[in-house]
Amino acid sequence: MTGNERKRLLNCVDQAGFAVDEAVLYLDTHPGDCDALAYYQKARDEQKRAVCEYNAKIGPLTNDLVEPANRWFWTDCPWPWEKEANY
Amino acid sequence: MWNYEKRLQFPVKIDCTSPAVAKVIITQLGGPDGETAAAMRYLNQRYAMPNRHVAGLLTDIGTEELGHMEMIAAIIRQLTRDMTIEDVKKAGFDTYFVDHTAGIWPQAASGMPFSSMVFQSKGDAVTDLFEDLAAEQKARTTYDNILRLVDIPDVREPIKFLRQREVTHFQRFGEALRLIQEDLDCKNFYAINPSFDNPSKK
Repeated sequence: MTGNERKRLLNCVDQAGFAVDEAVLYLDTHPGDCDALAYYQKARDEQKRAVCEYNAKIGPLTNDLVEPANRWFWTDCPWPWEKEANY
Repeated sequence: MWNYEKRLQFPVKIDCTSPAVAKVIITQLGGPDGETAAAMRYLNQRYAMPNRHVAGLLTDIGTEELGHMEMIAAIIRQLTRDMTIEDVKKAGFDTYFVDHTAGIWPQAASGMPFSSMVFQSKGDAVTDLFEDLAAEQKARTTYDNILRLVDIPDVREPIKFLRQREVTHFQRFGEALRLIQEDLDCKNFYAINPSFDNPSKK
């Protein structure tokens, strides 16, 4: 797995996550907006797909995604505030 | 309950060292209009908020502000992690360094420590939402001032993102205020506190 691939996959997670964040805040004050609900559903599905791909190819973004093996690798990768974790 | 997601809301990747810039940006971590104040304001106000949709908005924006604290801390960390003692002295970062070395500690640019005195949780829906609207504008102005002071592109990009979030949150809080005003008795508009003087409660 190249560094560029990791950056591309993280960018997908960030973009989809941002779309979900925006939809959630809008829906909090417009709970009956059907267009917004459809947008939320699409964004959430894309976020799930992107997180799943990142998890399979790079590593866990949340600690419930850690697959127990012979090592606890949640704390192996750089933390988000480190330059190395960003793109 | 909260869950941690191991990523920033928007990437921070800074190649240069500049304690001088970190000294200014730290105000958005621990200053009067910073992200810690924002998170604490909304997450504490929500308990007395009488409208569930607005309580939900305070929860979700307050949660996003926790992520913004992390972005600001990431900017400061990356600007200071490789600094030399000469960099510290030249930037006038010595007054921070002597107490915190390269650790992250919430304070204003002036050195004033973070304090709950910079925000209110008044237990009145209208009062709190006007505070929140003002807070988003004050934070937006602070980001505008940072953009006037800082010319490093790697720093400006996440700052521009955070500035834009203040604009979006201001919009959502405006809608929240409208929801609260729709709940009020028109004869008592502003005269009662819907969080406390609720006639249906008695």
